[in-house]
Amino acid sequence: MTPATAPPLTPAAFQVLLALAGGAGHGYGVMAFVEQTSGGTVRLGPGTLYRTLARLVADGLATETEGADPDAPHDARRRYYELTALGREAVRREAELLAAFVEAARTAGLLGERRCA
Amino acid sequence: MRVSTRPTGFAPHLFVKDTEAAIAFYTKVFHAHELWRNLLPDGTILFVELAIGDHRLLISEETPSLDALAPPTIGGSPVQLHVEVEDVDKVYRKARWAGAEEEIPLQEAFWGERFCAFRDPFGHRWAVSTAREQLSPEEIYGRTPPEV
Repeated sequence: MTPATAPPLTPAAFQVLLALAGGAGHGYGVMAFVEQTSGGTVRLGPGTLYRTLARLVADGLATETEGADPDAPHDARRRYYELTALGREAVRREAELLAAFVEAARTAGLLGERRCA
Repeated sequence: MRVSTRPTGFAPHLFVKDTEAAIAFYTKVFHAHELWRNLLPDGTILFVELAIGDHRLLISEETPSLDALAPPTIGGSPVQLHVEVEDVDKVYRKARWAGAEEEIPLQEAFWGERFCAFRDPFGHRWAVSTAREQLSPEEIYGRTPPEV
């Protein structure tokens, strides 16, 4: 599916795809997901959100869902998006890669006790 | 709390005589994707933002009143934009067919890349490469020719 030579996802692209995989289909929902998951550390501005989603759509990792108005202002916050199969595969691969590094970080003693809900 | 001055982004802003033709060229050759364009009420393009890979490229039409001059007007470009791609031969071929002029022919360069350079139809200069080997600076020093 994903070509072996596909480039790694940028942090913003990974976070947006992760938000879509978790069900947030709306631009505002993606921004909220990233901010909440990162405990407020990462905030995607509307410009970054728009550019990231436009690039993901152009690369075939996400699509805009029905109801999108092509003449509407370039405000990704108001539009709806979903993952394509390629996007789902890409975010899954990136998550596995990150998990491997996080495990190494845990072994190196960089991560404290796992925070539980 | 002190705010960092460390840059968080970097993008070239190119001035050209024909904006639509430039967008078409960069789209064809570099798979650029137009993100958005900023227009004045009378339809004049102020600038266009393109995505090239994960990076940004800004294009504006030549505007002498803003000192935004295109390469033909000032006699050339002192900047070369470096782009890494998976298949430099393919990109170079597309560029030439789209009107680019050869500056450095395709070659296996001593620094470990397959490499070429060209001037696009708008006067801007590009170096395109595909990585061959990962070399350390010391290895590259060892391979640098005595003169050019």
